[in-house]
Amino acid sequence: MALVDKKKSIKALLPPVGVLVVLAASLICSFVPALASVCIFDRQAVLHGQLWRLITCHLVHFSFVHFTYDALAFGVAGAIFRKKHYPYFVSFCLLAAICISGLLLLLKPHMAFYGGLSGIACGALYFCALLGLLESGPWQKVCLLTALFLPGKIAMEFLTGAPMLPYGNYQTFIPVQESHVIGCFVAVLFYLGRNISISGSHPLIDQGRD
Amino acid sequence: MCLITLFAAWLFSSGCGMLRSSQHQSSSAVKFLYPEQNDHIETPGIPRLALPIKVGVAFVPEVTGTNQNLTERDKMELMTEVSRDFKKYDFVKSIEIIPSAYLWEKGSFANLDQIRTIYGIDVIALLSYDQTQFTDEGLASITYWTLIGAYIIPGEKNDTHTMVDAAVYDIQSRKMLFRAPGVSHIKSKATPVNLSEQLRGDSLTGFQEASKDLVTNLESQLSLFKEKVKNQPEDYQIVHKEGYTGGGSVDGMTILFLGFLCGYWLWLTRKRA
Repeated sequence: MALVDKKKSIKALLPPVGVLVVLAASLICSFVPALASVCIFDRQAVLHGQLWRLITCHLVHFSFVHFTYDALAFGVAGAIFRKKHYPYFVSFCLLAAICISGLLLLLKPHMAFYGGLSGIACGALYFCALLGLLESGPWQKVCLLTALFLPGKIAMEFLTGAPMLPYGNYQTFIPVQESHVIGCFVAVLFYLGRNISISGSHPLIDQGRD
Repeated sequence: MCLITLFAAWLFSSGCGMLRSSQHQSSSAVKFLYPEQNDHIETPGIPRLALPIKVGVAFVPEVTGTNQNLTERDKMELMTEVSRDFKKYDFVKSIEIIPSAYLWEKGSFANLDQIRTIYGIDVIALLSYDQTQFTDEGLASITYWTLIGAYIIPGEKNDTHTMVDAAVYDIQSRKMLFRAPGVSHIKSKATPVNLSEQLRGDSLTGFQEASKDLVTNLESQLSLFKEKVKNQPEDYQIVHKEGYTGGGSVDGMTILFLGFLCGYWLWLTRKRA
């Protein structure tokens, strides 16, 4: 019986199947050059009508370390959504993907190529943190820390112009901090748009309590 | 009596423990960039560093004759060693090693502009050096009288002092971004027969050790320069090149933070239970 319970608790910690599918797709897109060239954010191609790249570009990564870091963050975000029964994960990811790519297209006119899941991952983590603030107990403290850390880190990166803990190896791309800002901004919009209240008997909060 | 006089004369002329000879070779980045006959001094502008940058590495031409000890192959090896240090930085796109033939004496910035056009580089690390070798005769040189001693007893004491200097310039603005020195001191002994061979070897070892020291100093100077760029944005413009690749990347700090949060959450939950 205890073994069954343990298995259940481990299973609950795993990211949802959808997240694992996205990570598998990302792995394939990142390391199969033919797929990467079709999926990557290519400014000229997007402007010539290949609009799918606005969504698929987030699946493409430029190195194994790049993929691992992003996959970890995205996997953790997915696992939280699953464990806490937070809804709108898919719609959030889709909206964040389109907003990040679309705004980068406008804001970064010199950037020819873009790829990476981190904008969506950061946004999803921030969305979780905002939702968690409405709960009580240890989870609320964890979410408060996250809600303070993420904007602080992004602000520091903007001020210094470099990641706080850069990659150890040679990097073939320039980190785009704006994607994290847009991700968090979409999270705030999503949070406000869903009109979640502390006192309300919203199913999300009821299900999400420890 | 005659033999003693002769010995004394030899001691006096060749010198026991006295300086026998010295050699000096050098090249100077200042003399290359600002030659004496040139009255016009370039005024540096504000560097506009378009990231990721292309870096060139070159030895400036020698001013005190040609150093026979440092061949083009040795220079290439030393430049490769220095370039390895630059390669690991994400803001460096590529490194070009520029052969000495592409730089001429007193070439100044006009020469650098040509290299910029040929290689497409933005920034150049100009390597210059100063090497002095002293040879003294030690007490053991007395054995040279036996003739065989001159072949087997290392009575020549050599000192090789080397300094290699790297000055990194932004070619377009003519501004020196930072510089770093590397020094070495090699001591050795030789017989008169293999003296020149030993000096050549010492010279190369001197350059190699000075280059290692240079690489260490370059790293610290590069860190200082990065801080300077952040603290003095009015003095340096940092932009991204057109057509660059951007990446949405979670950095190590976020991963560490997520790890910390997981641990903290588990601890709080267990404490509560």
